[in-house]
Amino acid sequence: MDTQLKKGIIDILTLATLRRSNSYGYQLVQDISNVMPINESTLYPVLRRLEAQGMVTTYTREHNSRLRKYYQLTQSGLDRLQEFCGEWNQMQRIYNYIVNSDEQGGLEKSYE
Amino acid sequence: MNKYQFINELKKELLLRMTRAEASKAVQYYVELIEDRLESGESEALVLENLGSPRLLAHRIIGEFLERYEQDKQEGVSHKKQLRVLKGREDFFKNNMVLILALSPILLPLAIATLSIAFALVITAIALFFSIGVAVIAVFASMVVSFVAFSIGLVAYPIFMITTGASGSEIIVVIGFFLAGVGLTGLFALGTYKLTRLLFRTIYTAATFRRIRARVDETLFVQPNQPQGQGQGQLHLEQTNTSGS
Repeated sequence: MDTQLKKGIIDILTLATLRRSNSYGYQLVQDISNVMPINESTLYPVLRRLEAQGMVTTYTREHNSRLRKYYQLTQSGLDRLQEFCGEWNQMQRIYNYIVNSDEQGGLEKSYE
Repeated sequence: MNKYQFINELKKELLLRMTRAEASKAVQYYVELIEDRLESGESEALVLENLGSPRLLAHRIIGEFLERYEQDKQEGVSHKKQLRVLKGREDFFKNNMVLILALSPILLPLAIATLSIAFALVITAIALFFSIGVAVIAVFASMVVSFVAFSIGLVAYPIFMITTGASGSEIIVVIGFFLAGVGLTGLFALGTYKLTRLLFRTIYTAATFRRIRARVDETLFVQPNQPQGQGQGQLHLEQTNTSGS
């Protein structure tokens, strides 16, 4: 997948995962990997950026006598998520436009 | 390589380019991740193999921040937080790279020359003050010790001579000798002290010293667009200083 597009989508996937429940680094990698393969080094800058932008907040909890950093969705993170879903309709139209431009439907098949 | 070595290496690499706070955040994230993966049953060797070289990882983390910073700059977003993530001098060198490279044949020897002169001056000054200080202390201490020794001798030796039954003239000669010793060493000790004080006071308040200081101030802080007044100002400064000292 295009790296620029992928980056934006990882942001959204992270926010969506956090909407279900607060989570920590390792668990987030596991959950997001179910939808899209990522590794921990991809996720770190995403989390750091979301934190800097105030879309998530963090807190630490002790686990097996070490610290674990948990991430929690904020209101502005939730807003961003809803904004993306609004944009998605537009994306859908773009997608349909691209697919319909191919009369034989070969493109669509390869996407399915 | 074990996990501790990995983390140490990562931290070292990150600190080359990132602020301490930001580097430690990244390190904490990776420590937590490694521990979580080990807890889930993966072997240390596998986890570290997946993460790759700590150097490369550090460069990737730094690269991500740089990329984001450039993006924000292009979009006109000023992220004060993002700016503080990378060490300031990096931005300066990046922005002025072409200029610095173009001037490097001049700048480099100049910088080296300036640095070595400054270094030599500092070392000389320190050595000078140190040696003067040591010499003065040594002379002063020896004078004080001799003074005490002569004082003890002045009392003790005549008493010793009386017990051995020496003649009065002999005792008077010995007393004279010790008295001379006490006087001379006392004079020297006092002289060293007074002279040192005078020397340092002279250096500190010397008119030449003041004039040098005034000239340095002037070259460093003179306003570039001051109309005509530069020559006058210099004269004025010198006049006030000579009259002041």
